[in-house]
Amino acid sequence: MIEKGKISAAQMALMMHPTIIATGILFVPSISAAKAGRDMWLSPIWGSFIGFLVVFIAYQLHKHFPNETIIEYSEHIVGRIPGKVIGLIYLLFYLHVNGIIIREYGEFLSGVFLMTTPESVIFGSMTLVCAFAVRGGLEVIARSAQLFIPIVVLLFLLIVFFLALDLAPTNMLPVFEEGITPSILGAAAPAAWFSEFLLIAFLLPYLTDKEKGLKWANLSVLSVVFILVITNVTALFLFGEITADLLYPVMSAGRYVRVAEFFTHLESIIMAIWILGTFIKISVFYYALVLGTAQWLKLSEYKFIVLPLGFLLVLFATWSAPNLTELKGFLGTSAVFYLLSVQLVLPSILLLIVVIQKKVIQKRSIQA
Amino acid sequence: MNSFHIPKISKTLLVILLSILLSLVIGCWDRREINDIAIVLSTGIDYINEDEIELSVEIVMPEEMAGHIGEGGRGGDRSTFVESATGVTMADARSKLQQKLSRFLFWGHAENTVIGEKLAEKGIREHLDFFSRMPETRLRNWVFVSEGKAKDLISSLPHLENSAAATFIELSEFQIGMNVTMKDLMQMLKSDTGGAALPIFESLPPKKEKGKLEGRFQPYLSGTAVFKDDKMIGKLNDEVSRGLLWIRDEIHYATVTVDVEEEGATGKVSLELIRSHTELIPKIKNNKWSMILKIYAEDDVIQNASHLDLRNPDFIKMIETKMEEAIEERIKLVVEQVQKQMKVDIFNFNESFQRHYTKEWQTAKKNWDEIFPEIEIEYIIEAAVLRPGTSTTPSAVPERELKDE
Repeated sequence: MIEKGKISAAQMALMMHPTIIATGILFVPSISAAKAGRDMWLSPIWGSFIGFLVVFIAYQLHKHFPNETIIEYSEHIVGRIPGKVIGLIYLLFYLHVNGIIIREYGEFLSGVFLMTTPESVIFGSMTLVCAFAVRGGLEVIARSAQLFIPIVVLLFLLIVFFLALDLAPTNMLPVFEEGITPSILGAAAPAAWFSEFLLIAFLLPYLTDKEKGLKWANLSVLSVVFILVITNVTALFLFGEITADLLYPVMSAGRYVRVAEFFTHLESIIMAIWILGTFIKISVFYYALVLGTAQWLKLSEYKFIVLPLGFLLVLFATWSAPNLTELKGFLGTSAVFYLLSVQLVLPSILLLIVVIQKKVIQKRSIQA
Repeated sequence: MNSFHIPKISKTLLVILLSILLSLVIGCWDRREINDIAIVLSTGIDYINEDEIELSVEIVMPEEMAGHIGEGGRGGDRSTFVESATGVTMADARSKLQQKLSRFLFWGHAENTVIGEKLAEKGIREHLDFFSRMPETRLRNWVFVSEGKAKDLISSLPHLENSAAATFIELSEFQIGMNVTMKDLMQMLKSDTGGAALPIFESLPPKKEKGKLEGRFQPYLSGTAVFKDDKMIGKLNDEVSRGLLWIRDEIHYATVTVDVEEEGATGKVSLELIRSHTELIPKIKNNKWSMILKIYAEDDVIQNASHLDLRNPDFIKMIETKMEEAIEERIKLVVEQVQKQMKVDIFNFNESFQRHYTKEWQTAKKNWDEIFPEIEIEYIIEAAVLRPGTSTTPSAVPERELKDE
């Protein structure tokens, strides 16, 4: 195996948590609110079903091929050439999606804080830091997640706590004014985010306690649901109908905090949450890309392709969208189908083939 | 499977190279030191003509502010100054304003937005966008309408604070009138059926008066501006505004004076509000829409200008009844003006019906403007006088004049 590091199942859960929420808490509330309105707080709950499903599929595939990642076992499932094609799809997908994530990070940073800083510097500096983490290997990413994520969650809850007095729960009523449909439509974006849980297919082979993998992955989905629901509830209780009008409701909420006349301007905390979270998120995607590429090309070592791929990532970040309006439009519409087809449909097909193959083999052995 | 090896010398080179690279990522592009920015405290927007608005800003003079601390808070001269410029939009006016200043205008600490009366009558929606779109602005800044020009109001120099902005903040924190932040205003304007209401500030022109310093005048709350859609259509005076606060469950400070009957004459008892709670209970019966206004208020007696001995529980009961009547009267004032004359829903009745009668609301929301003025209001008011203050009998009243039963 190329990766010699080992992580625990709990560390995997900690890594996956920011991988979903880091960009989720900034972009999703506004996208959900546009479709679901007052019922937006339900959308992450509907979306989480996709999360549990993806975790289930990834785990089943893992059970059949306990020491391989999706890049390796897709060759074993459908044969060498089709397997390589599927592997390539995943690699291009992760390259593109990670480019988009870096773009989201850069858009937020340059749109809200660093207006005149060139985007390539923002993209480049983050990618460079992540490249160091990825070069360090799986254990390094896992330990930084272990270190940062409790801080991220704590700071986030702190913001919600300080907003408590300004929250108006009546903004939630009436629930289901136009039936259940709006909240399900609003779940499209969270569902796409949840499908990113497929990344555990790259992490499961390196667990020290494999039997706990499924449990921790599901716990991670639950924790993400929890944070996303809290995010949406806070945005809804605070901003009500104008949530959809705001580009980054959580950011606006952070700025809205005012306790005892002097405790204000908490946007830097949002910033800290965002940068720490995105660091882990980009690193995990980056790692999957690097490890997958090395396995696809059957390399003996992945460290030396880290920086070249990082360069590509920065390019993809720049190319992924001409402007923020198109980026957000893409995230709310076609990205949903894009992410779901690669991260849910494709693995489901792989799993189906494996199950059928096993059945056929079983039948043959019985006949023989 | 040995990791590829970097020779030692090139490793040192790498470190040097990275250090140079690091100097590029410290964010020099957006470096803005505190002495490069002009901190805006209040923003005033005025109507000039059909095409132009005037943007006035109250800016901190940092040296002045620091000076006061050194001098032990003398509370002397203004620590802020006002600059203004005209333009076709807020952003246009801002760029012209910037030309007049040596420092970069910074809106991150803006606490108040004052809308001139005239501009309010023309419509405010387009100007608010500036505040939700500019990355550095906050949605928590108090918004109000000024009687007269906004520029005059933010230029006023009060007695107690050393800037107009500080006065507005203190008065808003006081919660004596309506308290509307930019976020609240946007929520009000977003609604299809409801109107909006903003507090009105007024500032009397400086005139010589005993006990007041020349040139200083206090901005004060003088009522409520009522908006239909995004245009101001009327004003409620201070007294009527209080009734509005009762309906919206936003009343925090209230002193109610009631007349109590004594043999032959009437005396007065004043009560101070401790806490109150207003509940709106919508009802639709036989296609007739009505609203029950349920108010519970707790009060203490703060002055007893009658001859009643408040040790007698019957008197307390009587005062409570009088209090309930007084509150109802207050509320009826505002209902008359807002519901019957202006016909704008600033009572949040729309939300209340939407929550309780979701189905009926779907059809009603289209002609809410017609339904709202016809809604019958029923009052259920309960006032409780909890304590008679710190004295029992009216002070300094001879025993024989006391009325204790």
